[in-house]
Amino acid sequence: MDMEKAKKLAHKILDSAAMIRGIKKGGYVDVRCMYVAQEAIAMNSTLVEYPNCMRESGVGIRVLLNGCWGFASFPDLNQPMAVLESKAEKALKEAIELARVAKRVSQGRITLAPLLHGAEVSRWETPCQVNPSSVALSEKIQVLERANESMLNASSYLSVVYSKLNFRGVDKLFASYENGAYRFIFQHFLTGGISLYVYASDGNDVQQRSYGCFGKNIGGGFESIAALDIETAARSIAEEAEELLFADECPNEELDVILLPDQCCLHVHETGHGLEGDRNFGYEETYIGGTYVEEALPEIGMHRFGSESVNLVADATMSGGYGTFGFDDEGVPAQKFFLVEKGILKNVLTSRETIAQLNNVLGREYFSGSNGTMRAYSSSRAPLIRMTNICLLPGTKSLEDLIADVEQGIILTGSYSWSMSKDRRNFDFGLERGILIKNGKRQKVVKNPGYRGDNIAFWHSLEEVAGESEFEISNIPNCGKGHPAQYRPLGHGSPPALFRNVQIYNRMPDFALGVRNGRKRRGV
Amino acid sequence: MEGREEAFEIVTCAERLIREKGLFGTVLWRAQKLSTLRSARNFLHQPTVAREQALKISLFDEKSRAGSATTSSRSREAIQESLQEAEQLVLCVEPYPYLAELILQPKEFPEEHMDGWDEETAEGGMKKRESFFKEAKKAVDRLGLLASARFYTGNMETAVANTLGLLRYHRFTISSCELTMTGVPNTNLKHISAFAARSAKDVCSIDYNELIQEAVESAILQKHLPIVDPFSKKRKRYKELDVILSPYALATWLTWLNWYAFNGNALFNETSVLTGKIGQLVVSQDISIVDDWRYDHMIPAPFDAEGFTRARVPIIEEGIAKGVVCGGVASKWSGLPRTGHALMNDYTWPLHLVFTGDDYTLDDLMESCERPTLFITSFNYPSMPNSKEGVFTGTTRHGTFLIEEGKICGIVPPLRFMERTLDVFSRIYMKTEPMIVVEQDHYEGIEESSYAVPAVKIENFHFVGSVS
Repeated sequence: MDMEKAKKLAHKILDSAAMIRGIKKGGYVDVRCMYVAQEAIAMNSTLVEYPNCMRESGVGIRVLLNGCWGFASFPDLNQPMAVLESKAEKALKEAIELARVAKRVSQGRITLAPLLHGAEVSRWETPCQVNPSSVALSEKIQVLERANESMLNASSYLSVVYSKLNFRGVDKLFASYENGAYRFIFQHFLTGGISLYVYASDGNDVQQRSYGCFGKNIGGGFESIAALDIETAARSIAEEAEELLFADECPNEELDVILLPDQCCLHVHETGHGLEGDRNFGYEETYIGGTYVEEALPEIGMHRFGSESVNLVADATMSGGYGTFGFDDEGVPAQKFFLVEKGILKNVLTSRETIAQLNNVLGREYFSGSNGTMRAYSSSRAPLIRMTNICLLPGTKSLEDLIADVEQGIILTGSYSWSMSKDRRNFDFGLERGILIKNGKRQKVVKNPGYRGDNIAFWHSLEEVAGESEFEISNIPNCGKGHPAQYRPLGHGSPPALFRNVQIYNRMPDFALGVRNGRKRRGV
Repeated sequence: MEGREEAFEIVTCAERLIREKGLFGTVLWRAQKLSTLRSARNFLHQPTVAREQALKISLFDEKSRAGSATTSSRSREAIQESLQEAEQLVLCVEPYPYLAELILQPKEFPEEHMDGWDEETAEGGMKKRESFFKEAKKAVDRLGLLASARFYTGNMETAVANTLGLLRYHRFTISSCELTMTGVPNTNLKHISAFAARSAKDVCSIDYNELIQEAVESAILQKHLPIVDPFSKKRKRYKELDVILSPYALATWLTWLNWYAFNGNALFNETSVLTGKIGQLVVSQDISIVDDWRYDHMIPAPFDAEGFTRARVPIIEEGIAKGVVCGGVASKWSGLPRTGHALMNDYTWPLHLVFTGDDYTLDDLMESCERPTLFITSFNYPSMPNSKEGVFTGTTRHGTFLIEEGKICGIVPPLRFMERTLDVFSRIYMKTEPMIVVEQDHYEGIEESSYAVPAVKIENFHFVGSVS
């Protein structure tokens, strides 16, 4: 990773851009140079499948000219400087031409909120004790072998036993020019994760169990993976998959629900999309849609989003989060702030461009500066507002206290499927495992559970949240947004949480739909 | 884009280096350019050009120990470095018995007869795309609505070489335009969401005036028709309704089936709705689904990431489950036939589904409605809560219309549905001619994928609630 070479190139691009009239006066340009190194090792049963390492580099150039964006990118920083300069010049021209096209066909213009903190040169890196690249492949394979062995020994019903380790290191240079000032930010990110899943089959039914929320993913070095008790987790999911084969079907009825942290984090995630500021302006209308928060926006600061127990924070400084960084892709420092505090909508995720747009909708200066959420997955993609680490803050009770407070309910864990309406109000989640609760006590395990409902009612029905000691981080490696589409690793955290009167359904639609065509279907 | 000769030089350079080390393997080169204009409510907020390239070296030794390395650099030094990395991986693993067999140079090269390339599209087609945004703006201004749109052009080249002497090259262009017209927020038109899309390999084939007109007609209907909620207490009986699914909606469903059902991995892992049903009548005899990249107007893809010629694969033929697609590894693993459907990221699924249609028009489907029927334009963020049962859920979007006595008479709020795929495909009783649809989710850039799907009419479709 030759970051000095990257800096020299970025400086050259900024110098060229600064010569352009519309950029020199009131414009803006940023350059991202990225080197990415990834490693993936998977084990299917007792066999290591094609391990892969990937190296990728490239440059993305974004200009704001006459109030409109243009973005262009090119791959491969491992080229001679003269070639890079030539490609950079071409990409800069393309970005400028795109900004001009945008101006010709657009109504309105973008105004960037002032950058409140702007040192000329800054650095940040993920805290790490053991760089995954320094760990021998054989040691990584042993982690998978032990996991798969634990799963295989735990049940004879397993048809699929799968584990995978992923590590990703990113060196990123962000450079910008604005109002005569140059900025350079060097960041180094390290993330890693392990996923485990099994399918148990009795020749008729197949049940799946998996570890964590899309695995256990951690921002940090190999030490984070080594600290996990993977073998115990592996054994548990294998035993639970077998147990599900012979479990009763989940009922279709309204019940109190305790979401364990893995699923609660996914629900927070899907809700969190609705708190992305750009969705209020139709930025995702050509993809998954908008947000029900748009209607509440004029009342931000006093709008009741959910019950008093709802405390959602966006925390880009959280240790171990996939959404942890020093600066976003506009050079805005990482921040921690309430999105919802004691049930009141306090903030949305913003960028420098959405501040003026949001204040315009509100008719008042509610937002003062970007809260630093603009990020792109790769150098070939323009940054978008993305969740950082969105967490449901803990309460004071324990999971056992929550269970004791339930007369008729269900504990849900193991995300299986997820679906949202275009305004993020209506949701449908399928889960791997449910445990019924009656009169404050755990009862039997049930299979094929799901829950669906309305997000406004759902967050108003949050009654209690377990405490700090049961808070878990669940990082999501593959959140999709934008066109061109881009993945983004994001972070979440949550303890178990109790919601009242939620519609529970069975993922076998015979059960879900009851009577069809005048014929009574089998049911629970 | 490097062009055929340059691309061959890149892959043969890597292939030679593999052989020099006494190893075996396949080298895949992919380079693409994706130029996107994307607007939100009349503002072009994301005009982008993305260039990406990747060289993937998959190798194995005489003991069948395998590893792979990918680089975005095409220099000899980077290739050597990647090769060394892959070699290190090979040395650390046990033999893998399910390696895809290397392919000999074929006698026929379908790519030579269908390269799917259009120069204007490769150049970006910017004039046409800019004009579209201007025309879309005029159209929504007349209606008092807002336009959010995406119009992209892309091109990609693929070259594959292996240590048995295989050498293949293919390139294609793609263009796709979609428009969403929405009502102004916090007004009495806020419920409006009208959609239309067109895709082709060449940008000049996209008739954006026709597309705009389709969205305008939908928007006008939504503007003037009364809103009817089948889940209001008064009309609760509408929980099961006949529906007409547009090609957009059916294409989305098929995409999920590609991922969860129509591939060898899912079939072998017993998670496909077709597991244990190959050779059986699974849906009505009117239904045939085939993966066929040679079908008219498809984005062509003559071979897969392993260089294997992509076969025409019947999935369901006259209601009988016939088979699924497989790349080399999935084929070895599952024992199913190799069909030339390996993807670069080691997955395997169909890219060119053709859902056989009939001669009916969409008007025929609507006019034939004797019972209350819903016309569904699109699905939003669907999911498969039970893949083995083919259970599919999602919400409707971009206009859900109530048809009574053959005429559209109401606009319905978005509804959540839940259905079993095979049940639904057994209750299809009218179809239009198929149209070409390009699905929008490709996180790794453009893909040589397109579907030919009709609008279909289905009896007793199951809804579980309305969204608002």
